[in-house]
Amino acid sequence: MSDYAHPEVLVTTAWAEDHLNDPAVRILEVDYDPSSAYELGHIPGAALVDWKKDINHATRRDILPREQFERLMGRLGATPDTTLILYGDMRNWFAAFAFWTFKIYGHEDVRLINGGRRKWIEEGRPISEEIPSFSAAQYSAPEANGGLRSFLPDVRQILGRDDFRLVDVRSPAEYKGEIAAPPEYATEGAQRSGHIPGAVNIPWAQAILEDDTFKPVEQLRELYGAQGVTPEASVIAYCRIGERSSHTWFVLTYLLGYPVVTNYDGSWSEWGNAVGVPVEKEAAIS
Amino acid sequence: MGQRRRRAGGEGGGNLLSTTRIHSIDLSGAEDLCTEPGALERVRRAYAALGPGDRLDVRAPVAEHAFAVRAWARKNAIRVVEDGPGPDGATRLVLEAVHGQA
Repeated sequence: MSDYAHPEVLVTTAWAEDHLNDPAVRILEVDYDPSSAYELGHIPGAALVDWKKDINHATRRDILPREQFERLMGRLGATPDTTLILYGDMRNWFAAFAFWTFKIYGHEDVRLINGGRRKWIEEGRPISEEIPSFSAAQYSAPEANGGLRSFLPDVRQILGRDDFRLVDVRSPAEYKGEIAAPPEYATEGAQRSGHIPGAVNIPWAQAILEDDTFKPVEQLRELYGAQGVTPEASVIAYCRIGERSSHTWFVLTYLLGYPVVTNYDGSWSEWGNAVGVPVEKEAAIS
Repeated sequence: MGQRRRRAGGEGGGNLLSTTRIHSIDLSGAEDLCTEPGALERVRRAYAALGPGDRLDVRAPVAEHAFAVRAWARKNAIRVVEDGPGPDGATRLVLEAVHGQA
């Protein structure tokens, strides 16, 4: 892990176990479906962050507003000085999304557990069903950092530009347009299938090993570099709702140290429903 | 989801003349693509479709999924009649739907 550009944002499962009772550390399980994960057992002392309720805006499609982030941190007893350790269900996608939003609101010390929930359980580490409680804290966050996020007009504006790279991290079938609206995710459907013109397809999972830990830095550099995704360009990552792409955003930003990477969280569920935007289908995948 | 039949009886007082349907579900590759439900949700749905006495044979190569199935079964008082490595080394859990659904 030490060869990564910012190794301090990753912790091992062993490190996390050594810090279960560290008062400066708050371990948070970020789940898409808590009933299939946190509620059945979690890292002892870990608090639940429910992705749908806690990380999203209550009414409009958006990430949580700043006041909601402050309330969330307060409820978790976290201050701006707390070390937040994230992991979660679904291969750490939603933990990575939370990491991205916490960075948008300027939290300094956020880290991911390398390998996440899957590795923790695989290694037979302790599991608890106890729900921790914390004394409420006051948390004041700065204005959102817009530099970590792209919106549809931003993406539209850079189409065809050599100094930008679009990375579609979905499955090849989604990228090629064979899947528009997976029936299992009713709110993530799209009117049109395919990908944003010029995007290369590097599925998120290519960045991890069998045990869900991240690949070594040389392999990551080769993976993205081979598709022309290099630090000289500004990179925009997208998927369907921005969760898998936040995993890739994390890799490019913190493991490879690319200077300008954003997550387009509107992703295909916005682009594929938007009127008048160009769509590419069936392009060759290298 | 696959399905096969076996002669019932010997376990739980089944009728020797009846057969028990054994459904199977393989969780390998679950949660790789984000185009299908999560691993446990697939098991929940398969279990909900069982008739009384039917069994669900779950192949769970990932420990996280096996853990979730066990914990969910325990919370819902679902009988796990087998739990251990299958012939290929992957965890195999067999759930029995005594009352049909959890």
